[in-house]
Amino acid sequence: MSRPSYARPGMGGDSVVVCRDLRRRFGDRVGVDGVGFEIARGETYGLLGPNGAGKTTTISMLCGLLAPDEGEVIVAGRPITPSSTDAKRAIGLVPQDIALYPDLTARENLRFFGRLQGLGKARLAARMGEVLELVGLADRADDRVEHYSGGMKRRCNIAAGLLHEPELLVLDEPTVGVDPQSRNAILESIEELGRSGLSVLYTTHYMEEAERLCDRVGILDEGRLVAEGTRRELIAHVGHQAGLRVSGTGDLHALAAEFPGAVVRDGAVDLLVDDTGRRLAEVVGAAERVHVVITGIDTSEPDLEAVFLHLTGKALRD
Amino acid sequence: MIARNELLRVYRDRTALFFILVLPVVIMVIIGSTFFGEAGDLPIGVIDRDQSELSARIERLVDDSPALATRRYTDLDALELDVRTGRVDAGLVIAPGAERVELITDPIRRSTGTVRTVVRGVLAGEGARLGAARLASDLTGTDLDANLLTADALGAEQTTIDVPVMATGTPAEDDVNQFSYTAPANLVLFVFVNSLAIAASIVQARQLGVLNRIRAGPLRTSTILVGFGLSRVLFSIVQSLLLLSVGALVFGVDFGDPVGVALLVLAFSLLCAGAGLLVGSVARNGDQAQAIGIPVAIALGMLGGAMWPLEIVGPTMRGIGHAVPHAWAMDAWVELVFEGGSARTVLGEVGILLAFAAVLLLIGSRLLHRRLSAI
Repeated sequence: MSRPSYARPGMGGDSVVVCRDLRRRFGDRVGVDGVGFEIARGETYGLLGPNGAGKTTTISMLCGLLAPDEGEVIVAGRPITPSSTDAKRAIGLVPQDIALYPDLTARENLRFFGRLQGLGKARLAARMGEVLELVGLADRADDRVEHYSGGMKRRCNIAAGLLHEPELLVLDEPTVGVDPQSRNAILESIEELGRSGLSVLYTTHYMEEAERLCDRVGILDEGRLVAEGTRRELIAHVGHQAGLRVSGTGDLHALAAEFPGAVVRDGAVDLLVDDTGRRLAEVVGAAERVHVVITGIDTSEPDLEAVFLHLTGKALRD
Repeated sequence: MIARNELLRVYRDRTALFFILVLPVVIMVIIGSTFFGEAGDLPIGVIDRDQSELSARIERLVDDSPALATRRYTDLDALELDVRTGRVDAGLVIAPGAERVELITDPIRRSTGTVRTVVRGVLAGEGARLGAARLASDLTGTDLDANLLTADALGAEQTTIDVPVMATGTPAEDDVNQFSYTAPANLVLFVFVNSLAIAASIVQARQLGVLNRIRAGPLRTSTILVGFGLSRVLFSIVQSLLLLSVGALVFGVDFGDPVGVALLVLAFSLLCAGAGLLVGSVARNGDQAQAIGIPVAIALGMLGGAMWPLEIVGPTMRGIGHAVPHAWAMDAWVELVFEGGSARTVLGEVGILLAFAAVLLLIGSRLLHRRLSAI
């Protein structure tokens, strides 16, 4: 079966999303603080940040679910607010939750959401076939969603967001809680959508996903966009630093405290260093002082994880 | 579309269908048969300690009553035990001389009042006959038995006085039966109970993120709320129609003026939709919606006369009962079913139900709107 095409006329130069200075508070807590970015047509843009960084709040404002206290969102040339109606047709939202009725089949769910998007009977039937094929659920379309595996539910969730051929697909952490195989299938589907010319906004706290899928990435921390750019541009923030990962037994937190910006993660201390040789000696000396027995040392080229660490002093999955 | 989808989901839920359709009918049958069954076959034990012609005559009168089923006893303790254990509803003891008849009852038994009334009615004529014969004997010194026979003869010749019963207003329907109260009462009770029970589906839609997905589409929030509210109204109407059909076709209940019935069902369905939206917006999860909704609905049904007629409670409870909409709905049903009322005569009750509905719909939709806007 042929894949649907999402290519749009004029793709390339103009922006499908413009967010300007978005701010939103929840009582005393700042949810989003001055976030602004643009997404070009056909571009896959990632919002990378740990849980609570403001990713979901940002896309809730972008999709018109939440009114910003300040700032504006323009999608496909039209402002988006909670009271927007037609303008929202440009957006296909794939929420972090499996936003489907578990007691209905995939086909019934898609029919429901497609009708709400205003799709006519013939077009809806055609589109249901296309999206079910795209996410690999065509042969299970008449099964109830509650009988699906976690990965299948996620794929059906994506299908519901694609049904009405949006100009922008917004995916909020679509691989949370799925097994590696299903996760790979989901990422492949999104890569295919990106190749077909669909504009995608992808939020994640998985550095590898952002690196694999996104043309550009915005790094969010505590409601602020702390950096933005292509992978190469972001890694340039780190300079010549390399990642150093020290595994050992003993008080790793005490060892991490010896080096500004170092964090303890997964039974090891992660830090960024300019001069690997000199720093290694310092690490060994510090380990002796705090009675940590080093069991392994790895060095790595900087990645987005290192960029996040460099910019915020925290690990992505703190 | 939202309303259609909600109805499809309820249709798919076999447990919900059981509570919506089967349980109300079963309860209707049980309550109708138990509480409002026709008098008849009330078991009553009889001890004759006089063993005279007079006492035999009293026994025959009790035997002949179509409302009573007599059982003979010789031992008072055995009779009292059977009254206490419910084998008989009461015990009738004819004292020596047949001048006094004692009725042994269990005061907490529901049938006690009925038995007492029936026995008094049966023995009232015999008391008058005995009194007349005894008066004649005292005045003339003649034999009591002879005077009893004379009293019998005079009683047979006496012209009875016909006392026609004149009712004000429209004459009551002739085909009222033991289900005439329970059918509408169970409709009121269960349509409301189920409207609160299925409020859990609104909570579920909220929790699943389905409502947010819908809101991310091209519908106004007000349109979405109307969709969910309309689904509740349709659901209540469908359930009402099904219960009305069962009541009419299976139990032979005449619900009265169709226009009045339609108005009443619509008003009550709007009320149920409002209550459902309210519970759907305040409950934190589906379990909580059902845990709160169902007991509240049953309590309101008790207060409002959907479990027993408000006529049998005191004026204070009757007044309190009318603070809940069920009482007004039941007043209107009684008017339609028992008083031969029409749409015009139930307009007051329907208006009050609509006022309740308006308040609940307003509060429920506002709270749900606020919940959705807060993400």
